[in-house]
This record gives sequence, C-alpha cells and structure tokens, in this order.
Amino acid sequence: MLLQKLNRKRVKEINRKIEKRFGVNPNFRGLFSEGNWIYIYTGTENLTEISGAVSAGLNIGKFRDEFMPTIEGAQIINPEKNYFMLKSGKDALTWMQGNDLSAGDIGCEAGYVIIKYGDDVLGSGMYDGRIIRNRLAKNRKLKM
Amino acid sequence: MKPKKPEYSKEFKEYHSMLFDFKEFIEWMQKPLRKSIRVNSIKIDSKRLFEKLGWGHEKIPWAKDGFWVDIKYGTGATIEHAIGYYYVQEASSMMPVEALNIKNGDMVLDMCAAPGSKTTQIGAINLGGTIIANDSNTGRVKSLISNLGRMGIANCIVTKNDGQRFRGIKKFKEKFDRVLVDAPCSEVGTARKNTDSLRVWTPSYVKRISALQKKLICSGFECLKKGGVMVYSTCTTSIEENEDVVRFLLDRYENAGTGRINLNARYESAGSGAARVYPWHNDTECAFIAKITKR
Repeated sequence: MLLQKLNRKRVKEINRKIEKRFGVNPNFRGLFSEGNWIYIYTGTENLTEISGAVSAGLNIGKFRDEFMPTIEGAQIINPEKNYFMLKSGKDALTWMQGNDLSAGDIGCEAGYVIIKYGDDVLGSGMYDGRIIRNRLAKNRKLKM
Repeated sequence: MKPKKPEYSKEFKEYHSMLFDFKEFIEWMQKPLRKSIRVNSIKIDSKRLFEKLGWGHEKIPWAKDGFWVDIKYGTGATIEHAIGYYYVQEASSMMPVEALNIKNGDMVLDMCAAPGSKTTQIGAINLGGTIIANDSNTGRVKSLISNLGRMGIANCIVTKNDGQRFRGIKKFKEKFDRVLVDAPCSEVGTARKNTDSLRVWTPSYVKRISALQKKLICSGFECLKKGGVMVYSTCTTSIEENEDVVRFLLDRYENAGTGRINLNARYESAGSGAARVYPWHNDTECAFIAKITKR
C-alpha cells in the first residue's frame, strides 16, 4: 500500500481550500494520500504495520490545485456554496448515469461544484460557466 | 412462469436426504427469494430512506437495519443505492455479524471479507474501532474496496492475504476482540438465487473445501484475543463444512469453547450452540453459524 500520511500543514491546506470553495471547513484530520487521491482513516491501528494492506480508509477526493470531492467527500462536506441543486428526479438520474449537465449560468464560480438533489448529495463535477462535466467514478455510475 | 426444477446428482440427493426432507428442500429451492436490504445507518435512517424509495417493507427481526422489501427487480438500480444509502444483502447473511455481538470500539477481523456485505455491516456498528477486512482474491478485493467506499466506512484496512496464513503474522496473534470467518463453501444454501451450486456439488469438493475451512478457522482462532468471540459461518449444508470444522477446532485447542447463538430467528440447533438455518425456518437462504469463545 502506498498511502502516505499527510503532515499537518498539508491537511490544513486541504481544509482551507475546501472552506474557500464550498463555504464549510470540514476539519479533516488523519488524512492520507495515494498519488493525488486523499483518504480519511479513522481506525486506531497504525497503517504501516499491517501486513498485506492494499487499501485503507475512505476516499474523499482528489487534490491537485483544487479539491475534487468523491460522492463520500461531497456528502461529508455538504457545501454552503458552489453547489448546484438539481430540479427533478429525472435530472438526478441523468447525472447519476454519468452524463454532463447543460447548466448555463448557475451563479457558481468556475471549478468544482457539488451536485445536490433535495437533501441528497450526488458527488461533484467540473463547471466551466456553461456545462457541468460529470466526474463520478465509473463504478459509481448508475447502470439502468 | 413456473421455475425450472433444479438439477442435482444422485449423490447430492442421497447425502441431503439424511439431513432433512429432501422433497421439501427442492420445493423451497424453486421459490423466489424475498428481496432484502440493509439500511446504511452511517448515511441515513430507515424512515427517511423508505420515504425516498417508496417501497413497501418489513423489518427483519434479527438484523438491526435489515428489511425485506416489496420489489421484484432492480433493488440495486436506484440513486439511493449508488450513493450508499443501503446495501442489497440476503436476510440470512445478516445473521453472522449479529451473532458476533460487536461493541463500538472493537478490533475486528473479517477474514474472508469480499464482496463486503458483512464488513460493511460491521462498519455500521463499529464506528469507533478498527476493522481489518481480508480476502485472498484480487478481483474480489476490488469489489470489497468499492463497497466499503460506497458505504462510507473510514476505519477499515483492506488486506490481501491468504487467510490460512493469518496466524503466521506475528502482529495479528491474539489481536482481535471479534473475528468473523465466513468461509468459502459449496454454497448449497444460495440455490434459491442460482441452482448451479446443487448441480456442481460433489463429495470430493466438499472434502477439499472442508480441509481449507479447518485451516481458516484455526487461523482465525489464533488471531482472537482471550475473552474474544469468533463466529464461523457458511451458506451451505454439508456437515463436513460446518459441524466437523467446529469440532476440529474444539479438539485441537484446549482454550476453545462455544457460545450460544441468540438471534431473534427460527433455526435448528446444530450442537455446541451452533445454528442451522434452512429456508423453511424464516423464508431465507441456508446458513450455518457457530460462535466460538477463547479462554
């Protein structure tokens, strides 16, 4: 397993970026990374001491210059800004099937936006001022 | 459409006629299985989930968050499933974890964990502890990781080890408060979903898999703390894969004992406090569950 524990400075940077973008500081602690993917691990065992470990904790998103939340990351953050509220169950289904959304001007800054339908948080996408590009992982897309 | 009569060998019939009313068993194998789900209490409560789904439902008496649902197809084809609000899990498969009596904060080993139905059930109870979920098969480990993610479990470490060799890992010796060995088996009990397991059943396979199960149960036991609880379970019927495996452990380890299974379900006592569940008990698949203690 290649999970690396992130130092305090890096964790603080991620929390700050999320707060700036989504209006909520999730106060993440105990973060790990594998490449650009960020994981939260809340167990009590030291990961490096576990023989045969291939994965640990919960994948909450990808962090390069910006933070792209996974469905679980988005659910934990539950944003106060830069989210797009879907209007119908049909739109929610379209999104969960992995399609982009022609959103037009939604009053969000360009960048990652979190998708909501009612009180359900449905992951995140990349908004370019016109379209929200679907960023759901392949194995999370709904196959009908 | 009338379900097709399952195919099985003469040996299968002879063996199982000693265990129960074979005609009744085959009749049950042709009855459609009730669909069931387990609500993921990490993300949602059952009231809110069923308001969203609009499905008729009935509580499964032995499982904290388990429900039978009145839907024939597509239990996994909903937005709520995709975002991790529930797990499609057969009702009898919820029994082993309930029998483990996990306390929040426990160190738990799930030795044959993939695809993760029981691991995620453990995760919903044991938010403050640590879970080691192991499987030896690369493809199955991938589905385990995917399901743990979907269910939002953050305190689990997934390992890919040969379960038989767990006992050789120094770090794991007498480490766990709870151990689940849900062993690979001949899967006769799942025939209401897929009758292939009846067709391919042979005594020689049972003998081979029983040898592996004996190694797994011993490996699990050596990882168990003194005073801890281990559950050994299968979804099959053969004595060689169930009672004989438990007996093997009890004969080999002086400090091994058995505990009584206490579930709010109907089942047959299989000796040493173990339970055999047949479809006619609770309208489920088959299961064998034994509770092992360590002095």
